[in-house]
Amino acid sequence: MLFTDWMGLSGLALVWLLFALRLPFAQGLDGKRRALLVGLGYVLVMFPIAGWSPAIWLRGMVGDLSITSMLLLSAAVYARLFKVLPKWDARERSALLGFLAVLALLLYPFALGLGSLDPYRSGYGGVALLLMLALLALWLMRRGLYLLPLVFALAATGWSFNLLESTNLWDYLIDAPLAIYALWVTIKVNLLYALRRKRVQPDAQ
Amino acid sequence: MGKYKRLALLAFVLAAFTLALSKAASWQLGFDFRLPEPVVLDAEPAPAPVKRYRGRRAEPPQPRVVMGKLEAHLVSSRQHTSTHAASLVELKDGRLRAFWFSGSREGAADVTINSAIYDPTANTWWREQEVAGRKSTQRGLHRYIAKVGNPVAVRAANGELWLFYVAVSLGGWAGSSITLMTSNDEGESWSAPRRLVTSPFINISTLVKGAPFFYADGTMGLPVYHEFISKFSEILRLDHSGKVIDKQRLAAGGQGTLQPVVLVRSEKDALVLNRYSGKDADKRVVVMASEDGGRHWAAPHKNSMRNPDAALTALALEDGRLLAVLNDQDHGRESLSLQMSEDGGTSWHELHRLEEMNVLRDKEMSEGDCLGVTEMLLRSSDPLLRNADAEILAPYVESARPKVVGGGSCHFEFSYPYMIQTRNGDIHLAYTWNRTFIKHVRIDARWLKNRLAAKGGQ
Repeated sequence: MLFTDWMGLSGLALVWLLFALRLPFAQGLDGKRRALLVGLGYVLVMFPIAGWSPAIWLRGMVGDLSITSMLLLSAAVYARLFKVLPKWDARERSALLGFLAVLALLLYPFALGLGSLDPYRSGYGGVALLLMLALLALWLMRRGLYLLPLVFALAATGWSFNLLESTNLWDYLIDAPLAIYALWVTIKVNLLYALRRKRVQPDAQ
Repeated sequence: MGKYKRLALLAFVLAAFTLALSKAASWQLGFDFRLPEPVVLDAEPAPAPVKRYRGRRAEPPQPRVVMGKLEAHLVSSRQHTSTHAASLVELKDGRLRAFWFSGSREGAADVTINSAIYDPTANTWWREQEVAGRKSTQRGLHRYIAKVGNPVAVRAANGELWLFYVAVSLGGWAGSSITLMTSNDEGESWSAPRRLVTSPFINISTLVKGAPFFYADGTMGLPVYHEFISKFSEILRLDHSGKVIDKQRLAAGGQGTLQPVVLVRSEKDALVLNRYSGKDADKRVVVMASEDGGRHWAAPHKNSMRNPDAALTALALEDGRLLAVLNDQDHGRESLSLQMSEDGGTSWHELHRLEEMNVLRDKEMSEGDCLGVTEMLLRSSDPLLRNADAEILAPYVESARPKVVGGGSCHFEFSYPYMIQTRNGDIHLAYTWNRTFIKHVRIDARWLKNRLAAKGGQ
């Protein structure tokens, strides 16, 4: 198995582990048993029997996850495993998901054939895309946001060392399931915010 | 976040982007095309020594007319299977290797990529072998695979044979991604398959059909196409190790271009012929051209060739003339025509009609008559069947029956042509014969030369 295969399957194993940790029975387990569940679960979803495993099946369905997804999934599994709160606050989280939602809208419709320009092409060794991300990372740090710069730096590092099967930088930043999740959360949060404002405004008058 | 953590993050960001930018800076893409190796024609047969008898010629001298050969063979040997999408590659010793997919039906789980070798000296195809299948691909790619198809082989710049084929995990052919295997023993054994990542949306919908070509720096151009939501042609660029280093869109989605075939005419000039799969009633081949070595491609336009939403194949001859094989009809795939262009692809005319069953389209025919026609076609498709006994021919006819007979008429299909020119100047064409067999047509350099001379300038 190539390292990139192991990375791809491990990313998808995190999805299964998070799912297992969210089951009611897992939430009642103590720390040691939860750790055992994660260890055994990882082996079970990764190890192929007759050429099939849950991670192999999921890899066929959704493809490899990006470094960003792996970071978020690792943090979520860590939080569930040790029953701690995620390290980053709501502002960091909404900035990340909002950025990913905008990125998804800029990338997928055009990559799937809308118009003649393909933004995905810029991910093949694109100096311009890297420079843009580097400048954005520095600007965000000045604004007191650190999760997005961390994501950009991890994606750039992963791309530099060919950690994933893809040679395209976009695939280290974003993937389709993450894009759908980011769009859903961003739309939901903004809709709820708009509804709340609508409810509050009549009282304020 | 504390001050030291912020500083550490800043250092990490700067280091990560410095590293990535240094990698990107070395990602140089040179344009300009590499021309195929020059053709070296086989020596003309030496004239037979003139027999003399008592100082006089035994026979009056005869003019030496060599018409050349156009001959056909069946490539695939398995019967009662559905076969499709052949491609050809010349081996180092002058033999040919063909690839195609075969199974109970197109898209079935039992479909495999098969291969056979043609020995031009013995003028025969050897028995077919399985090269890859759904299970072997799933094992190699470490992901669920539902079906495989469309093999395309090429000799890479490093001398290896590379085999591209599509693998689907979910849905129809629009869910395809491209798989690559390599061989350093002329296709006797293959490396583990590797997936090319070519699309951001779960890497689906990149398919391969046309023959690869090369850029001047030795990197490979792979003509591919996208089918999910909208259809458009693209060119993938692969480095010497088979990694994707660039992707160019040749047409916008909605312009209905599929299965591009790239014709390299010079270091700067190339033409792409595309199957038209759009909604316009005027179904013709879509063309785009580059005059700067592939850096830019002009907007697509339709040319004069009819195209009933079917794959075509083409190649550029050394003298600048272009050859194409396609279904020259408005609907269906019942005929196959070898065409030539002498003006860089603007106008085309027929050199030879390879198959012609369009005359029977939608005509009422009994099952017996259909099978009779099928038998006649089979006899003309392989020298071994030409004078074969009915017993030998019967299983071939039976194999074709489910595809050919039905609804009170005959349904013939000659499709997915794939053409190459070998180093000795011969043209080899492989195509799907009624979804039952793969047929090979060998056109030797003399036949082509005579035909071009006879038909040229029309």
